[in-house]
Amino acid sequence: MRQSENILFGDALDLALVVVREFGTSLADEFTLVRDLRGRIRVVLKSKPENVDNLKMFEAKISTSLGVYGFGSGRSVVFADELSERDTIFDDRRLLPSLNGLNIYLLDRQIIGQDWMRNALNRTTTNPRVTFYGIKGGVGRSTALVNWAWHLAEQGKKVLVFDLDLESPGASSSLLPTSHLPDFGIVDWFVEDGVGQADVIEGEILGKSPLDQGLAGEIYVISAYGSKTGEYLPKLSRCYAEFSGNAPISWAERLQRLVERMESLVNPDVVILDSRAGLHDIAAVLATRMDADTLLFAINTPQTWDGYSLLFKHWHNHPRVRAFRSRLQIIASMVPETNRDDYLKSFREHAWDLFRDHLYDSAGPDDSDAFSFDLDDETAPHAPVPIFWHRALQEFNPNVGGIDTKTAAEALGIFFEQADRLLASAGQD
Amino acid sequence: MNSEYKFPQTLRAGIVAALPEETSQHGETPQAGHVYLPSTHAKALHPNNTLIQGMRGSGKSFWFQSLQNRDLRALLGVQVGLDADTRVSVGFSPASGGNEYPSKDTLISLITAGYEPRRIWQAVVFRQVIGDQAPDEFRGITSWKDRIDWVVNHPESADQLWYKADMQLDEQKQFHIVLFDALDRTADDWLTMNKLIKGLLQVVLDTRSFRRIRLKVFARPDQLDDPSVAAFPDASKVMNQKVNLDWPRRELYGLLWQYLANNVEFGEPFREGARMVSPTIQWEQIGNIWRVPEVIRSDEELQKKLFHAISGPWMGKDKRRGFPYSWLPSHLGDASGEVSPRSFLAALRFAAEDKVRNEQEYVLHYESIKRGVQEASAIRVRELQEDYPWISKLFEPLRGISVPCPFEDIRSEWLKNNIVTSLRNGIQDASVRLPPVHIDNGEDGILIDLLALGLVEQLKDKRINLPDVYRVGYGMGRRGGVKPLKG
Repeated sequence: MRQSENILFGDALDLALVVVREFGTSLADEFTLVRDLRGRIRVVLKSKPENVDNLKMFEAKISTSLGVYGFGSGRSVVFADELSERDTIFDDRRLLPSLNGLNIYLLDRQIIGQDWMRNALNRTTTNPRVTFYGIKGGVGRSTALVNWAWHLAEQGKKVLVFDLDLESPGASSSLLPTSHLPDFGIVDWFVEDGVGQADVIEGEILGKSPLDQGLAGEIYVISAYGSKTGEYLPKLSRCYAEFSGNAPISWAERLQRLVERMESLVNPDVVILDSRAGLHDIAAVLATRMDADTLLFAINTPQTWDGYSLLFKHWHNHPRVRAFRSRLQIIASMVPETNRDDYLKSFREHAWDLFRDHLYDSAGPDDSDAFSFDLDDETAPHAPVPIFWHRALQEFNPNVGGIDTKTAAEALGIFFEQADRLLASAGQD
Repeated sequence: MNSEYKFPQTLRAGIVAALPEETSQHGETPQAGHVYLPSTHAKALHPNNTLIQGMRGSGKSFWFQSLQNRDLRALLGVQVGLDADTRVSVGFSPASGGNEYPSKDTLISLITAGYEPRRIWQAVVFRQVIGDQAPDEFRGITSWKDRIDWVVNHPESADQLWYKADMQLDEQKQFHIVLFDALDRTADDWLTMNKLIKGLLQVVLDTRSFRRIRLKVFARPDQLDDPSVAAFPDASKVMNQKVNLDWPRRELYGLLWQYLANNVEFGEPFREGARMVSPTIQWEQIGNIWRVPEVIRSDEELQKKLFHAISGPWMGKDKRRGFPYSWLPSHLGDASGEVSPRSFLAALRFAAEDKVRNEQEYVLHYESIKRGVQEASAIRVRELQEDYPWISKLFEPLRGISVPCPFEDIRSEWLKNNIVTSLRNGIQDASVRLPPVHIDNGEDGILIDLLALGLVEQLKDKRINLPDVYRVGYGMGRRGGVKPLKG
């Protein structure tokens, strides 16, 4: 049973900060807290301070304060100038809110989860990208994606879709029936890239959707797997390795490379990245690092808002939040047939609270340029873009009978309009 | 994109010259070049529509004044059932009418003396319509008490005179319209005002049987809200046909074109530029007034194109903040989305007066439009203040508060400042006059009134929000999780 003196993960960082602030500038003007994979915290100082007694007191205090989340006295403080890997420590750390001129950084070493906080990746292509994301699955994300791809192709656009829902592939099956699958998919690309020969199969992962028949544009699909992928799981588990050939390279950069290479091959007007649901790293990369506009699919349930709230809390501290928050757009998916206005009013208020509490600026009466939007502002990221529930969409299979134009217009008309607007503005840059 | 037409920078001075300063034109006859008739307003002006409802600033007094002017009636034309010879007189207005209609003080003394409001208004309309054809003994009367008594005591003569006047008008194919405006100036308390409005609506009902005698009553929604106002048989026949003076987005822009096109100095370059935007925009002059072509009254796509030739296509650098065409009115809307035309024009005038930025491509920079909206906020607040003098007392202590917030935060500020008590005690005071209708229910009652006025809105969880136009005007902030960067 938990005793009051037990220190839990969530307490440790705050406790460490208390001790650091207590000693503060008497010890050093800059502290870096390194939290390891198990959550244990140690302090890195630039160099050994002159006042050895003070240092000893600090070491002892932080060691006892942190309990199991600390290191023994003598091991709880290290000095950057004595470390071999000091560069990576200072590159990846982020600044915590400062106090009285004291700079405290945190380096969080995690197996996953770091992609949520990293910088945007550089890219060489210029076509607009749109990420489809949902905190929960089963909210009509894929259906919207397929219909929009078709809508864009109908306007004569060339669309390239990446099915990055690797853990539960199949979003692309509506676009690519089994008969049209290319030999290989995304998992194969990652596995071959891991040993430095992605180029060998690059020409065989591009699928062409039969859905664009009779349309002016084209729909290309890179699916999670291909007809010759064979066993999926052993490949999936090797996808996330952080090296390409013999070079260490982050997974996100590998993904960027895949997307760029296919973009330069296809030269699309639009790229759609189908993210998996939840707080997975793939989603993190797609939403914050790929230079994409991100559509956040949601339904008006407490679970949805709680989930997004967790994510937005995290984003609140994101070093680049000011850059990517304007590229988010909430989508009210599966709006019920009855009491639509009431449903959307409630949805809008929840979305407003979510964005306001975590991503919008606080604004005084005269701050006309603050990133802050009124409840009913239709151009705001929180303004719900509705997709109406429609029976025909629930039984949706475009491979049987194609897309029903009337259904699409009824259910997705406003969504198409707003998504097109995002594209138009993206293309203006 | 770049091949699209852009207005020359000189239009900025044109906007400043063409759009009115904030001052209300109360009591003045509108200039012909400024008379723009939105389609729902056309219906409101027709003699057969007797009850016209509009919020503060929607144009009630504007039409009240216009209808009294021969030339303007002719200009408004036959499509609204009017011409220069239509007879129009005034049954109530805050302007002193000599002995033509009773003043507020006269009304109060009549009510105190026990006169029934319906009888009062009946006598007013009688005097206006029958006029010179009334018997000498009536024409010789100088006090309203005696006039009312005469009409009440001579029902048969009165009936005959009504009938004769109506027949004569019908032969001449002319209406006689008696106008009533600014009903809040009829009394200092709601009870008396409600009685007077009820009496007036009864007379509206009574005159329905005439062919050519009509009343036209301009009223604010809150003046028709109280159930006592409609507590008479067949009141629904009057209430159901009320016409609302709306200002949907396309009419606001129509109004803007009207002002720009008719400016003496800059009208021609504006009209010429509009033709460059689209050759379908064909200007036509009637008398010396330019009419706004139908295509840029009703076609919102074309309106947008024309406005964007002035403002540029986006409301920001990142091009995600929407179109100026829709951004502007939506940021001036109250809690029901209604925009006062004066604040709309004022926002644009302010925007045109703002400093010119480096490499400014268009006549109006989006930052200037934002500034303009902020300034117009103050105008809207002042406009409202004229009708509801007590509002400033309510919002003064809320300066600095951020919304959305629980109503309790607001209530506690009001309690701290004794707002309810001071409003109650100050009812006789000119700065309060006609206090919030539901003040007897304390702070909760005031909230009901503010909600009805569209000043605040309530979220589903009961928290309070103010639409931007009022939030900014009353110096309040908006809550947010991120501290904005300085500079």
